[in-house]
Amino acid sequence: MKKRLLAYIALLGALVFSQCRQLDLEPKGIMGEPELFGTEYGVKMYFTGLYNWLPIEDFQYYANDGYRKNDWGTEKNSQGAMSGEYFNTWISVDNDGFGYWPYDRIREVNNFIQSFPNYKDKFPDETFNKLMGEAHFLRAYFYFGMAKRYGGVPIVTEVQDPLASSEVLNVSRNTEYDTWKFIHDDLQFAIDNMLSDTKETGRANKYVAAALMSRAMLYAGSVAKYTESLGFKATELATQQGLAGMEPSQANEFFEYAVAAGKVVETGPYSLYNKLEDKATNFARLFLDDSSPETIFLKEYNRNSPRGNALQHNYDALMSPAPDMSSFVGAESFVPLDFMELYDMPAYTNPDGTPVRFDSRGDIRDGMEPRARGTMYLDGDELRGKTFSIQRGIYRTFDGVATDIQRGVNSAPINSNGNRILGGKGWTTEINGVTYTITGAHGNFEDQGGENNAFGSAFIRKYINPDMATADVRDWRSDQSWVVFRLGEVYLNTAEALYELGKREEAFDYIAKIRERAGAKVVRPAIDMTMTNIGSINKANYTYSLEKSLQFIRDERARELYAENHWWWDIRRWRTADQILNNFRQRLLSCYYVADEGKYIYLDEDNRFNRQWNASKSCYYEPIPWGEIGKNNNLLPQNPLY
Amino acid sequence: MLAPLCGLAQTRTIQGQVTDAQTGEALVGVSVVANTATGREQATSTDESGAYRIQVSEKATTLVFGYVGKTTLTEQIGNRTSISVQLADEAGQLDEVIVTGYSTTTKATLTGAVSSIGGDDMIRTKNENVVNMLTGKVPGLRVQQRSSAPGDYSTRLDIRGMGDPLVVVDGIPRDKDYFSRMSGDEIESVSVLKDGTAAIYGLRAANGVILVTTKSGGDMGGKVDITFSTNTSLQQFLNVPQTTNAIDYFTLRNERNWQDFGGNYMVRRNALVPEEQFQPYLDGTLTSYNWMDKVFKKTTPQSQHNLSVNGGSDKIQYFFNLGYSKQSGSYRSDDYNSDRWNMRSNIDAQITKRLKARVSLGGIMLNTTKPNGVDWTAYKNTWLTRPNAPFYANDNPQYPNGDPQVLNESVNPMVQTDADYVGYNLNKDRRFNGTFQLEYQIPGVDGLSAKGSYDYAVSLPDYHNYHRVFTVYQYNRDSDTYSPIQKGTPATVTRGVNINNNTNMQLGLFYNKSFGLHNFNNFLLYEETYSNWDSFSAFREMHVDSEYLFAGADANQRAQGGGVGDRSSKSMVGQIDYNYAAKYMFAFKFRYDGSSRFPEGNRFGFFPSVSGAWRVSQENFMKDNVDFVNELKIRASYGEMGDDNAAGNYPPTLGYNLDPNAVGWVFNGGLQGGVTTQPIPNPNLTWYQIKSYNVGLDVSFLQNKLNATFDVFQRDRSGLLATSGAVIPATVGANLPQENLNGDRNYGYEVSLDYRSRVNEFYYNVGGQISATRIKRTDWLETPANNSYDYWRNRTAGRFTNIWWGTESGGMFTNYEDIRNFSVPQGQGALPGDWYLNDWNEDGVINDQDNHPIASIGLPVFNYGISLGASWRGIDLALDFQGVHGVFVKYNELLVEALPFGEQNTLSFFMDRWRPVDPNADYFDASTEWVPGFFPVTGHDGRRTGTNGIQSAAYMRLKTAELGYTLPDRWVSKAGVKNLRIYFSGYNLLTFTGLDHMDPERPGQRINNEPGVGDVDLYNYPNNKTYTFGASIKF
Repeated sequence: MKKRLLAYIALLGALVFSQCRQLDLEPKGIMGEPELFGTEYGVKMYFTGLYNWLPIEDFQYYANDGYRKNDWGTEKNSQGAMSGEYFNTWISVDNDGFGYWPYDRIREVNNFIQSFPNYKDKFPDETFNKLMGEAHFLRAYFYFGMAKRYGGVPIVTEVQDPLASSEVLNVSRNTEYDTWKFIHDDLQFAIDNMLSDTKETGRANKYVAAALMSRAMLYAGSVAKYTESLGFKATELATQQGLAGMEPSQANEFFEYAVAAGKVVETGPYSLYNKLEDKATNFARLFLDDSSPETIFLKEYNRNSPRGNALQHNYDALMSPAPDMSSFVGAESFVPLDFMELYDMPAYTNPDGTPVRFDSRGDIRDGMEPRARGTMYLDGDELRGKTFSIQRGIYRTFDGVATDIQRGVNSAPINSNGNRILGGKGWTTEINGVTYTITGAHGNFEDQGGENNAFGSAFIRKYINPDMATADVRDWRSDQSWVVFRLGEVYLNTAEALYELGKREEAFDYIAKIRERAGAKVVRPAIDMTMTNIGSINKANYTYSLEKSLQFIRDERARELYAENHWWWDIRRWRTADQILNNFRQRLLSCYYVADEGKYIYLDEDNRFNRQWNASKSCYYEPIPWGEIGKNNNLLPQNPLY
Repeated sequence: MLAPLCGLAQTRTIQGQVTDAQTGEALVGVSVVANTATGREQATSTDESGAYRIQVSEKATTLVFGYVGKTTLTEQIGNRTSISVQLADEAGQLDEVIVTGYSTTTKATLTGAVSSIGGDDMIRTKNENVVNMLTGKVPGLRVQQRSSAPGDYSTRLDIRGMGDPLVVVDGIPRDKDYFSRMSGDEIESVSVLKDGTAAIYGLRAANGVILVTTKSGGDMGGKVDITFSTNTSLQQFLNVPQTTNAIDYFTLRNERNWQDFGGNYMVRRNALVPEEQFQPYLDGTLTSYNWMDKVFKKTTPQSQHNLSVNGGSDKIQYFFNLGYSKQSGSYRSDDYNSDRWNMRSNIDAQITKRLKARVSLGGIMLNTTKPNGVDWTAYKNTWLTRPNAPFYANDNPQYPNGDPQVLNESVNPMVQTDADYVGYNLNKDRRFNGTFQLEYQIPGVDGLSAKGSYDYAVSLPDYHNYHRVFTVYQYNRDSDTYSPIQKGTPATVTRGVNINNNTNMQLGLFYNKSFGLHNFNNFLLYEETYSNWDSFSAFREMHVDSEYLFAGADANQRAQGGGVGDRSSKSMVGQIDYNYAAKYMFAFKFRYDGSSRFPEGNRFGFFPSVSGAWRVSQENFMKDNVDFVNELKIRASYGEMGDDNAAGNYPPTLGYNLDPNAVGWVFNGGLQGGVTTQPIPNPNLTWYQIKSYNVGLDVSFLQNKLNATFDVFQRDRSGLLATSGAVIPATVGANLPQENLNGDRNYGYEVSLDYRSRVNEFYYNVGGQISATRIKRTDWLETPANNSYDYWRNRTAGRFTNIWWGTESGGMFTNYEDIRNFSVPQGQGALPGDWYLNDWNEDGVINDQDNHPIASIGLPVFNYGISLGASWRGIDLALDFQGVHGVFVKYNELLVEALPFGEQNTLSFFMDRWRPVDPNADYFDASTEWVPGFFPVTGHDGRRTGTNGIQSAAYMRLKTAELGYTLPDRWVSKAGVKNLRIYFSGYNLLTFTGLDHMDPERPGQRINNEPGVGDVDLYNYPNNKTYTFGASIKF
């Protein structure tokens, strides 16, 4: 019996081993390195993820949360909203950052730079060099994302083995100077190796690398020149060790790099956008025309792309008022008066202090700089077949001067006793037998919060795509491109760097080009070398003095680059953020109908929510991520004031 | 009561005595029933001396003796006038067959911690989801129904808090989704393997195993039973809060406006909603619109029908089942529905004397349709819709309102829940499986048989999402016109399909034999499985009015691939199960398991378990001396198991994933998908390991009337996957591999008690069970703490996993004086009615540092159930209570503050709030008098943070109440009916809980990514209570 049992077990065993089902399955959907690095298309696939994760502050950037957020509210938490460039009710200045630490992407680039030479024989030299150059461009971009936040960071160029000893893995920070130098060297490599072929939009070439260099080196130069004014050196170890801060003597080197990079860009096939007669529309179109000759590098979107790629956005849905211009939440961000008045503007107060009487609300546009009108929508402008209608309220009578409103408080006599009438959405009031709608169709509604309400008199126009049908303006339906680098910015970079280098006239040659296109009244203002320490926004009291013409160049950046996510970085590198955002209570231009006159007036008021922005001195350097310091003490000392 | 009917017949008297077969003692209260050929005639019971007398007619043929705990005995009367009998102990539960994985055993000889429940006990609970039928009935099995949405089936299920268990149906591994969609009428029994004996399922047994056995035909001598059962239910929805009417809404808005110190500083603001707006609602010119009633129904129907055919002879036995169920949703549009077909066929054939074959087929088809794009927003949007917003523009039913002045983003929930406007989502869930099995009694070795089976299962879900363009209107009073507002352009259609194939093959030798008192139940078996899956979808914009893909536009069309992959496993499984005289039991079970998910060299593992039991009650010293104990068994088990579920689908390899859904870039207008880097391979990667310990005791008293089971268990997991990113500097930048690093332990106990008895013909039973579980992290890789506070606050190693950190709420300020004198300075805007937080660390400020453990997060610590049953003659009653204890939730958004979304509506319970006695009083005037309420002043926080913000979600509810009546055979047999039962049943009829406004079973799942935890998923579809009327008829 035992024998038989054994025989049967043997039979079963034989059956088992004759089975063909294998446990070695071919993994599906996984590619090896030779397939990727051995062909130009494969390299492009490899780079795709790196491009997708570049630290570009675009529509999908959450100011205090990171890149590529893929969250529907990005527009209200944008950098403009965070830094006071927009008025809205959502977020305030973030001094801490979000722990940006993209060494995973840097490892991918390093891996490419290390392994790609093994495939050199598969490519013509020109192609090989071009792709190598592109890798250096990508790496520099990631380091730039960190350098502007932390100053000096560890420069890792090797593909590290995670099992290596802690001496190898516990890297130290490089100095801020070395970090910016490293970015320069990578970009110089990219410029030297990449081609001048600009046909493929959305992809780096020699000029894109130069444009990044122009921006990065300008930042580095400013940091070197102005960090001293913060006085960190007395107390802060990180500054003493050169990890957070540079010497003023190192500034000119970087300004010169910036100028040189700008010159490289100028050798490319670029020109300022001037396709349309109407300067306002021309300026607005610049951001929507993918074939603009001004664009150097474009991040294109695609509304049908898988959501995981974060390549569609909600800009139109969240910047246009609902329901007649947006079918989603509606507008979330508005232009404060502080920024409006940087541009040429018509007077809204008479010399005697009384408000100017306008026949219609839209008359505020008369005499306004065309560039401003291309940047913002005002009453009477049209979008998606509808006309903006923006009014805060009604004065039964207005028999005083503008300052009588005491910045708009209820307790001002002129605002009390029912003389000033404010109201909710759609509310009406009757005055002497005539029924008036208290507010405009697009605001400013007392009974509504921050969503879909007009605060002030201007909606943001830059980047709004007027060609979408309103019913289509919903979440994740927008896919207009983000202009990462454009010639206008490079001109401004060059102008500022030249001015810092003392080449004042040459600098204003560039400013003139910008202002000419902008349609400004004075194209080339005279150079004014008077020193001042008072800034334009919030009358900021800088800790250092500068020539008035340099302040003009800085203001020109604010005008030209409004809503392009530059302002925050600019006031940081100038080391003026803590003074500009020092109880910065944004002012709003509010339009009222004066019932007994049948006229309109515009008044300068404090914002309704008494919101004010404050940046502390710690905002100039974000803290090195604390968790990383927990793992690696060599990252100490921590950045100033943490 | 039947006596008068028999009065005319000639009668005779039968008498006798009933004694216990084991002890010889008289049995008191034994029921004695006289039956005729067609049915029951007369009944009585035995007296104190065990004697009975019964008058019967000539037609009476049999006497039936019944007694709880004893085998029922039927005696032919013949000519006898004296019939004395002895009743033997009913093996009853002890004889019950328990499925233990690849084989069966009896309750008496069971060595593991296995709970079992019969299909009849399950279907007592009337629900569309069989998992919900198990709630509170099986010790250690935790069930939480989170939604009663049609076609949802999202009920959570775990064993002893261990995570998703393996579900095996008729010997083939399936999953919870398959199980939950089965028909209750096709289930014979469910066994739950809770301890180390689950190791027989090796790599997938980590979280315990649920074994489902479907019904089979029996040898009925060629006869057949045809059973038709049907029921219809009315569903009502539990804890659906209502919204405020216009007056209350305006009042709250004004109050919120006035509580803001900054806004009212110096000069008080005007009323946000002035008197004129109240007036029309006060004088009745205008009435509030009740959107909740407009969008949702109070009751909606549900029904289930089932036909089963069951019969056979010694050669062939069969069971066929066809079930249909339909559930309607709460939307008044009637566009949220689900229906399900179940089909099952089990056929056993004795082909030759030694060869048996079995063919099992199963099919499930579930269709769910709902309006496009609403889902969780349906309740939220309706709660938020203002009571002064008309349903229709100008109340003209031709024009659904979309006026953005009153409707946020023109969202009209009446329209949003109506598929005629927004389109629909149709999901079709289809699963089919077929198993063929042969069993051969091997000649020459008695008790040896070979068994082979092959199963093929396919699941083919597909979906059709039709997104329509629709129009709502704004009424222009000036011109008496309606402006259309078009929503949702362009129309789109998305079609998608998933394809899943699974095969399972088992070949084994079984040896089942007794040598005298030595009993063996051994087997050795080979099993292999293979699964593959693929999915894709297509999307097009629709510019013509069509819901079909082919009519869509070419521009912007999109095809997307989903997951694709495959997986295989090979295993040897065996057991040696021995017992001596059913007194000493020992079992060794093992599985040698290999999985394609791990690298070669680390893919095979050996998972053994040993278990043993001693039936002390079978020993003579017990039998002779302790007669009140009928059964006493001590059990112990130890098992080692693994789990490959957390691992990737393929062994780690160097390379790059094609990942167009995660990374992409547009080069020159063309969208390019990219790659993501695979983690660095870890050649040592393997499954996590489990050591499971269990000690149990089964005991019966009082002639087996009282049965009790106790179990104590502990499960240690080691090698849980983690990446060492927590300790390796991120500057390495590597996508670090998963490693087997972490460990945890869960432990607890279970107790169940069951008492069954009778008084004359009144049978009753009382049962209860309770289980408790906690989980602790034993080894946990974490970033080193920066300091001791950081360690205390943020590290988890060595602690329970379910600590809820928060601040401690103090009391409520009741007057301005309290605020001024409070030890910690309060903000300028503080008002009576505000809650203050305690300065727990006494540092003079209230901040994050005052956080400390305040409650437990996660699934309940204690789960219990109580079952009560009774029957008298044809009437039966069953009550199942179920409850949990030691569980906390936190509300947010709409449930925690009035007017959370600006001008939108709020829930009516916020009216119970602090407010000035004089509505127009200045909030910041110290002489203002206040009316206290549950909530602070509208607009003030206070029930959101700290211990105030969390609430106990402990509850006990009457899950099931059923009252049935089986019509007497005499009545129905004339119609050729064997059995007819009608019943009335209720589900979730009563709930006892301290939780307001929300169903305690609905807590959602957010905090710390712990499953099933934390914030209430307040917007999802509610749970229901149902009233069911049904009948089952057997021919």
